[in-house]
Amino acid sequence: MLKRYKMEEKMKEEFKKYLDRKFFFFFKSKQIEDYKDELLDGMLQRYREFTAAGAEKAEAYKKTIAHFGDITKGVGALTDIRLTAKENIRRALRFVVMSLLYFLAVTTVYLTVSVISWQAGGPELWGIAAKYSYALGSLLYAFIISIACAMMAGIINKPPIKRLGVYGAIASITVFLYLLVSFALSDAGATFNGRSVYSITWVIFAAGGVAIIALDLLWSLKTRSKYMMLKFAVLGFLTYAAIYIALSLGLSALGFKAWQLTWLMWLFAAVALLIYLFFKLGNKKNGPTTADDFDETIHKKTDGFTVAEKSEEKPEASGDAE
Amino acid sequence: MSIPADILRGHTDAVILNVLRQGDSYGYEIARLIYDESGGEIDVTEATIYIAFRRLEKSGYITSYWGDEGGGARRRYYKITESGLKKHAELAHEWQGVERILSKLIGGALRD
Repeated sequence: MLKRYKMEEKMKEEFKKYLDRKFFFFFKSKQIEDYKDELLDGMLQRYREFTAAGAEKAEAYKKTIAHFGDITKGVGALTDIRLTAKENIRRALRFVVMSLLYFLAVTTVYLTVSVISWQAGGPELWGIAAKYSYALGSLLYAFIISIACAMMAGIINKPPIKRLGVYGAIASITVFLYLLVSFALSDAGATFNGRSVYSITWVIFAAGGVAIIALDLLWSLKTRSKYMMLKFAVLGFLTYAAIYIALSLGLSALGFKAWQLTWLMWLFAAVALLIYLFFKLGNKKNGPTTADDFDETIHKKTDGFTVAEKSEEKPEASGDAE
Repeated sequence: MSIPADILRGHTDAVILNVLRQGDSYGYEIARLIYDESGGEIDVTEATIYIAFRRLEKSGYITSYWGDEGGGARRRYYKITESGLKKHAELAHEWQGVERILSKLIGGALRD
């Protein structure tokens, strides 16, 4: 009994979070809060109905959400739309003000560092201080915004936006590392085979890109994205290209005329791809040819629970879902 | 036979008023009643019911009050008003006319 009560309390919290997400961008009037309470009661009852019928917790949760449909429809009557718009404009303005304050702080740091470095070491030292403080300060901003975007997307349960936020954060770190390493090495007078360090530090960008693609692939595996194979192909291509570049640069650094040989890797890859396509096209299966075949395909994809009135809302899991 | 839920569209208000005419009720109970009374043929989403509640309450056909907590959250009950009863009578009369006409158009002999 106590266990069941605790499970229900936990599910009640899940539904509350769902409702908070759905109404996040609406002005929090008393009517909206009352409506949410009303919906919560209905959701708990529907959830109990599904679990009593034998559904597992997660399945019952999804079915409940699906059965409720688009609960934000018609909510305009419960809240003053002008207040909702005002609230969102207020939030946007706060964001702009915070951004301006941040850049003001970065500019202050930059000016302070510039004055001190000019007095200490003249224009050369000023140049080093300037690029570090302003460039890196801007990147820090991009990183913070990306993380904030990912967190906000997590609150309102928009996985694609959350992913973009995370990728933005990784991209900011990549550029930060690239600039930091490049600045540090070039300021220390380092070269690579007589060439500038920028001719090698660009690989940091490639590493960042591969990291983003690998992460995206992991996410796609979790959510069974239909673009999974395409992403695998892109990652495979980039990995192959990275091996080619690393091999070519490495052998060149050892004194070999690597580029005259390593191009053969691409010839090998092209031949392998053609052989693969030859066999794949040869073994291609026939698709459905009769109406019955099509029906069978459709019915296999149909959920067992029939919702007679189409809901505009896709069922959301309590975790990430695509 | 699976009846499309579209068939109920346009009559949700009348159905809800009829339910409330026979006793105070709340969202889940009404949705459940529609499902049971239709033999499982019509399964309306809660969004449809709640939007109808908002509409009917705004028009003054129903009022609401908070009842005892149903073992989880606050429960809002709805009650039909005098103007709601009149509206129901109007809608029921309208439906009888529609039913008569459609029966003839869909199943009756035409071009006598």
